[in-house]
Amino acid sequence: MSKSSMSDRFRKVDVDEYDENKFVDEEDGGENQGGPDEAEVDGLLRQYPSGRRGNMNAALHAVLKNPPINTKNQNAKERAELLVVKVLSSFKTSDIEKAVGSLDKAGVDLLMKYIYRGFEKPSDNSSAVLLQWHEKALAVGGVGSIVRVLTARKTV
Amino acid sequence: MRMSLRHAIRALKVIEVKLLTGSTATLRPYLNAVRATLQAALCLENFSSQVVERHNKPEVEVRSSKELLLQPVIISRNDKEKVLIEGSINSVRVSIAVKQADEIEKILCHKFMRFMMMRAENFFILRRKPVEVSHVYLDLTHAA
Repeated sequence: MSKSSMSDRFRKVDVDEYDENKFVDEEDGGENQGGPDEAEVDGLLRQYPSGRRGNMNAALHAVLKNPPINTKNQNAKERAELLVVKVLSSFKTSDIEKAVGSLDKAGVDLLMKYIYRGFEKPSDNSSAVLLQWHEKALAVGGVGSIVRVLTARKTV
Repeated sequence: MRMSLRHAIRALKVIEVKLLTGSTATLRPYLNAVRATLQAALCLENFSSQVVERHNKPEVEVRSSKELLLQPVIISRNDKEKVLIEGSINSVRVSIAVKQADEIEKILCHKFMRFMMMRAENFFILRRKPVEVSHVYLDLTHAA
Protein backbone atom coordinates (compact mmCIF):
# COMPACT_ATOMS: atom_id res chain seq x y z
CA MET A 1 0.00 0.00 0.00
CA SER A 2 1.64 3.21 -1.03
CA LYS A 3 1.20 6.28 1.04
CA SER A 4 -0.89 8.94 -0.57
CA SER A 5 1.25 11.73 -1.93
CA MET A 6 -1.08 14.41 -0.55
CA SER A 7 -0.46 15.79 2.91
CA ASP A 8 -2.48 14.31 5.75
CA ARG A 9 -2.06 17.21 8.15
CA PHE A 10 -5.75 17.90 7.90
CA ARG A 11 -6.23 15.06 10.34
CA LYS A 12 -4.52 17.02 13.09
CA VAL A 13 -6.83 20.02 12.78
CA ASP A 14 -9.36 20.34 15.62
CA VAL A 15 -12.54 20.91 13.67
CA ASP A 16 -14.59 21.85 16.74
CA GLU A 17 -12.59 25.05 17.19
CA TYR A 18 -13.84 26.40 13.87
CA ASP A 19 -17.50 25.54 14.40
CA GLU A 20 -19.55 28.70 13.84
CA ASN A 21 -22.02 27.84 16.56
CA LYS A 22 -19.37 27.41 19.19
CA PHE A 23 -19.96 29.66 22.17
CA VAL A 24 -17.23 32.13 23.08
CA ASP A 25 -17.42 34.47 26.02
CA GLU A 26 -17.33 38.13 25.10
CA GLU A 27 -14.03 39.69 26.01
CA ASP A 28 -14.68 43.25 27.08
CA GLY A 29 -11.75 45.52 27.67
CA GLY A 30 -11.84 46.00 31.39
CA GLU A 31 -8.49 47.59 31.93
CA ASN A 32 -9.89 50.69 33.56
CA GLN A 33 -11.91 48.99 36.23
CA GLY A 34 -9.67 48.94 39.24
CA GLY A 35 -12.25 48.10 41.83
CA PRO A 36 -13.61 50.35 44.56
CA ASP A 37 -11.49 53.21 45.75
CA GLU A 38 -9.71 52.13 48.94
CA ALA A 39 -8.92 55.56 50.28
CA GLU A 40 -12.51 56.71 49.98
CA VAL A 41 -13.91 53.63 51.65
CA ASP A 42 -11.37 53.72 54.49
CA GLY A 43 -12.16 57.35 55.13
CA LEU A 44 -15.87 56.66 55.34
CA LEU A 45 -15.28 53.65 57.60
CA ARG A 46 -13.16 55.61 60.02
CA GLN A 47 -15.93 58.12 60.51
CA TYR A 48 -18.31 55.41 61.67
CA PRO A 49 -17.40 55.26 65.40
CA SER A 50 -18.28 58.91 65.73
CA GLY A 51 -21.90 57.90 65.48
CA ARG A 52 -23.19 59.09 62.07
CA ARG A 53 -25.09 56.12 60.73
CA GLY A 54 -25.43 57.71 57.35
CA ASN A 55 -21.73 57.17 56.73
CA MET A 56 -21.97 53.40 56.94
CA ASN A 57 -24.49 53.31 54.13
CA ALA A 58 -22.25 55.67 52.19
CA ALA A 59 -19.29 53.36 52.79
CA LEU A 60 -21.34 50.45 51.48
CA HIS A 61 -22.32 52.40 48.36
CA ALA A 62 -18.73 53.47 47.81
CA VAL A 63 -17.38 49.96 48.08
CA LEU A 64 -19.99 48.65 45.64
CA LYS A 65 -19.03 51.25 43.05
CA ASN A 66 -16.81 50.31 40.14
CA PRO A 67 -16.77 46.54 40.54
CA PRO A 68 -13.87 44.79 38.77
CA ILE A 69 -16.13 42.61 36.67
CA ASN A 70 -14.43 42.80 33.31
CA THR A 71 -10.76 42.81 34.29
CA LYS A 72 -8.72 39.68 34.11
CA ASN A 73 -6.48 41.03 36.82
CA GLN A 74 -6.91 38.67 39.75
CA ASN A 75 -5.23 41.07 42.17
CA ALA A 76 -7.82 43.75 41.54
CA LYS A 77 -10.59 41.28 42.15
CA GLU A 78 -9.06 40.01 45.39
CA ARG A 79 -8.43 43.52 46.66
CA ALA A 80 -12.00 44.49 45.95
CA GLU A 81 -13.30 41.39 47.68
CA LEU A 82 -11.24 41.95 50.83
CA LEU A 83 -12.40 45.52 50.97
CA VAL A 84 -16.04 44.52 50.66
CA VAL A 85 -15.75 41.89 53.38
CA LYS A 86 -14.10 44.46 55.63
CA VAL A 87 -16.94 46.90 55.14
CA LEU A 88 -19.59 44.23 55.62
CA SER A 89 -17.96 43.06 58.87
CA SER A 90 -17.90 46.52 60.36
CA PHE A 91 -21.67 46.93 60.18
CA LYS A 92 -23.73 46.42 63.32
CA THR A 93 -26.29 43.63 62.98
CA SER A 94 -29.20 45.99 63.42
CA ASP A 95 -28.01 48.26 60.62
CA ILE A 96 -27.71 45.57 57.97
CA GLU A 97 -31.37 45.63 57.01
CA LYS A 98 -31.48 49.38 56.45
CA ALA A 99 -28.28 49.26 54.45
CA VAL A 100 -29.65 46.60 52.13
CA GLY A 101 -32.84 48.59 51.81
CA SER A 102 -30.91 51.59 50.57
CA LEU A 103 -29.49 49.68 47.62
CA ASP A 104 -31.12 49.50 44.23
CA LYS A 105 -31.76 46.24 42.38
CA ALA A 106 -28.40 46.17 40.64
CA GLY A 107 -26.73 46.94 43.95
CA VAL A 108 -28.42 44.00 45.65
CA ASP A 109 -27.29 41.67 42.84
CA LEU A 110 -23.74 42.99 43.13
CA LEU A 111 -23.86 42.55 46.91
CA MET A 112 -24.94 38.93 46.48
CA LYS A 113 -22.03 38.34 44.11
CA TYR A 114 -19.59 39.72 46.66
CA ILE A 115 -21.20 37.67 49.44
CA TYR A 116 -20.71 34.43 47.55
CA ARG A 117 -17.16 35.47 46.69
CA GLY A 118 -16.56 36.09 50.37
CA PHE A 119 -17.81 32.61 51.26
CA GLU A 120 -15.00 31.07 49.25
CA LYS A 121 -12.34 32.20 51.71
CA PRO A 122 -13.79 31.80 55.20
CA SER A 123 -11.65 33.46 57.85
CA ASP A 124 -12.34 34.05 61.55
CA ASN A 125 -15.84 35.31 61.77
CA SER A 126 -16.36 36.36 58.18
CA SER A 127 -18.75 33.53 57.35
CA ALA A 128 -21.10 34.32 60.21
CA VAL A 129 -21.31 37.94 59.14
CA LEU A 130 -21.75 36.99 55.50
CA LEU A 131 -24.54 34.59 56.41
CA GLN A 132 -26.44 37.41 58.07
CA TRP A 133 -25.94 39.66 55.07
CA HIS A 134 -27.05 36.81 52.82
CA GLU A 135 -30.27 36.43 54.78
CA LYS A 136 -31.09 40.13 54.57
CA ALA A 137 -30.11 40.45 50.93
CA LEU A 138 -32.23 37.40 50.13
CA ALA A 139 -35.23 39.01 51.80
CA VAL A 140 -34.87 42.02 49.51
CA GLY A 141 -33.65 40.41 46.29
CA GLY A 142 -35.44 37.08 46.48
CA VAL A 143 -34.30 33.84 44.86
CA GLY A 144 -33.91 35.80 41.62
CA SER A 145 -30.81 37.56 42.91
CA ILE A 146 -29.20 34.17 43.57
CA VAL A 147 -30.14 32.99 40.09
CA ARG A 148 -28.49 36.09 38.65
CA VAL A 149 -25.31 35.27 40.55
CA LEU A 150 -25.32 31.70 39.23
CA THR A 151 -25.93 32.65 35.61
CA ALA A 152 -23.62 35.65 35.36
CA ARG A 153 -20.93 35.10 32.76
CA LYS A 154 -18.52 37.52 34.42
CA THR A 155 -17.94 37.23 38.16
CA VAL A 156 -16.89 40.05 40.41
CA MET B 1 -19.34 -3.51 58.46
CA ARG B 2 -22.57 -2.98 56.60
CA MET B 3 -24.88 -0.37 57.96
CA SER B 4 -28.61 -0.80 57.87
CA LEU B 5 -31.08 1.99 57.31
CA ARG B 6 -31.94 2.11 60.99
CA HIS B 7 -28.28 2.60 61.88
CA ALA B 8 -28.01 5.32 59.29
CA ILE B 9 -30.96 7.18 60.76
CA ARG B 10 -29.50 6.90 64.24
CA ALA B 11 -26.14 8.13 62.95
CA LEU B 12 -27.84 11.11 61.33
CA LYS B 13 -29.59 11.96 64.59
CA VAL B 14 -26.26 11.90 66.44
CA ILE B 15 -24.69 14.14 63.82
CA GLU B 16 -27.63 16.52 64.07
CA VAL B 17 -27.35 16.70 67.87
CA LYS B 18 -23.64 17.37 67.59
CA LEU B 19 -24.27 20.12 65.09
CA LEU B 20 -26.90 21.69 67.32
CA THR B 21 -24.80 21.58 70.47
CA GLY B 22 -22.03 23.42 68.68
CA SER B 23 -22.37 27.06 67.71
CA THR B 24 -26.04 27.19 66.90
CA ALA B 25 -26.00 30.85 65.99
CA THR B 26 -24.72 30.18 62.49
CA LEU B 27 -26.54 26.91 61.89
CA ARG B 28 -29.96 28.30 60.97
CA PRO B 29 -28.64 31.01 58.61
CA TYR B 30 -26.27 28.46 57.07
CA LEU B 31 -29.06 25.97 56.36
CA ASN B 32 -31.33 28.72 55.08
CA ALA B 33 -28.64 30.03 52.77
CA VAL B 34 -27.99 26.52 51.44
CA ARG B 35 -31.71 25.93 50.97
CA ALA B 36 -32.19 29.17 49.06
CA THR B 37 -29.17 28.54 46.83
CA LEU B 38 -30.32 25.01 46.12
CA GLN B 39 -33.74 26.36 45.24
CA ALA B 40 -32.09 28.63 42.69
CA ALA B 41 -29.73 25.98 41.33
CA LEU B 42 -32.16 23.04 41.12
CA CYS B 43 -33.91 24.52 38.13
CA LEU B 44 -33.30 21.74 35.64
CA GLU B 45 -34.73 20.69 32.33
CA ASN B 46 -34.13 17.94 29.85
CA PHE B 47 -31.30 18.78 27.47
CA SER B 48 -29.89 16.29 25.00
CA SER B 49 -26.20 16.31 24.27
CA GLN B 50 -25.15 18.83 21.63
CA VAL B 51 -22.04 16.82 20.80
CA VAL B 52 -23.42 13.35 20.18
CA GLU B 53 -26.85 12.92 18.73
CA ARG B 54 -29.42 10.85 20.58
CA HIS B 55 -27.35 11.02 23.75
CA ASN B 56 -28.39 12.63 27.00
CA LYS B 57 -25.50 13.37 29.33
CA PRO B 58 -25.33 15.27 32.64
CA GLU B 59 -23.60 18.46 31.54
CA VAL B 60 -22.05 19.14 34.93
CA GLU B 61 -20.03 15.93 34.53
CA VAL B 62 -19.25 16.18 30.85
CA ARG B 63 -18.65 19.96 30.74
CA SER B 64 -18.68 19.93 26.99
CA SER B 65 -20.02 23.47 26.37
CA LYS B 66 -19.39 26.56 28.41
CA GLU B 67 -22.80 28.10 27.80
CA LEU B 68 -24.54 25.25 29.59
CA LEU B 69 -22.71 25.63 32.89
CA LEU B 70 -23.53 27.90 35.80
CA GLN B 71 -21.04 29.56 38.10
CA PRO B 72 -19.95 27.27 40.92
CA VAL B 73 -20.92 28.73 44.26
CA ILE B 74 -19.75 27.98 47.81
CA ILE B 75 -21.66 28.59 51.03
CA SER B 76 -19.47 28.23 54.09
CA ARG B 77 -20.25 28.28 57.76
CA ASN B 78 -16.59 28.21 58.79
CA ASP B 79 -13.52 26.90 57.08
CA LYS B 80 -14.36 23.26 57.93
CA GLU B 81 -18.00 23.19 56.86
CA LYS B 82 -19.04 24.24 53.42
CA VAL B 83 -21.26 23.29 50.54
CA LEU B 84 -20.15 23.65 46.92
CA ILE B 85 -22.93 23.82 44.36
CA GLU B 86 -22.11 23.49 40.66
CA GLY B 87 -25.06 23.72 38.36
CA SER B 88 -25.80 23.28 34.71
CA ILE B 89 -28.82 23.09 32.50
CA ASN B 90 -29.75 19.49 33.25
CA SER B 91 -27.74 18.51 36.32
CA VAL B 92 -26.38 19.79 39.59
CA ARG B 93 -23.46 18.63 41.70
CA VAL B 94 -23.67 19.30 45.43
CA SER B 95 -20.50 18.67 47.44
CA ILE B 96 -20.83 18.88 51.21
CA ALA B 97 -17.89 19.18 53.59
CA VAL B 98 -18.99 18.05 57.02
CA LYS B 99 -17.16 19.05 60.17
CA GLN B 100 -15.38 16.11 61.77
CA ALA B 101 -14.04 17.28 65.07
CA ASP B 102 -13.26 13.97 66.74
CA GLU B 103 -12.88 10.31 65.96
CA ILE B 104 -16.51 9.37 66.49
CA GLU B 105 -17.66 12.03 64.02
CA LYS B 106 -15.11 10.85 61.46
CA ILE B 107 -16.37 7.29 61.79
CA LEU B 108 -19.99 8.36 61.54
CA CYS B 109 -19.34 10.47 58.48
CA HIS B 110 -17.45 7.64 56.85
CA LYS B 111 -20.31 5.22 57.52
CA PHE B 112 -22.87 7.65 56.22
CA MET B 113 -20.84 8.11 53.03
CA ARG B 114 -20.57 4.37 52.51
CA PHE B 115 -24.30 4.07 53.00
CA MET B 116 -25.05 6.67 50.34
CA MET B 117 -22.47 5.28 47.91
CA MET B 118 -23.72 1.72 48.11
CA ARG B 119 -27.30 2.76 47.53
CA ALA B 120 -26.46 5.30 44.86
CA GLU B 121 -28.79 3.73 42.28
CA ASN B 122 -31.78 4.04 44.55
CA PHE B 123 -31.06 7.69 45.19
CA PHE B 124 -30.38 8.43 41.51
CA ILE B 125 -26.93 9.63 42.50
CA LEU B 126 -24.46 9.46 39.67
CA ARG B 127 -21.04 10.28 41.08
CA ARG B 128 -19.34 8.19 43.72
CA LYS B 129 -15.91 9.78 43.91
CA PRO B 130 -15.54 13.05 45.77
CA VAL B 131 -14.55 16.32 44.16
CA GLU B 132 -11.51 17.86 45.90
CA VAL B 133 -12.01 18.30 49.63
CA SER B 134 -15.52 17.30 50.40
CA HIS B 135 -17.06 14.36 52.09
CA VAL B 136 -20.49 13.88 50.62
CA TYR B 137 -21.26 14.56 47.00
CA LEU B 138 -24.50 14.19 45.16
CA ASP B 139 -25.11 14.51 41.45
CA LEU B 140 -28.72 15.22 40.69
CA THR B 141 -30.16 15.16 37.20
CA HIS B 142 -33.48 16.37 35.88
CA ALA B 143 -34.74 12.82 35.80
CA ALA B 144 -34.45 12.32 39.56
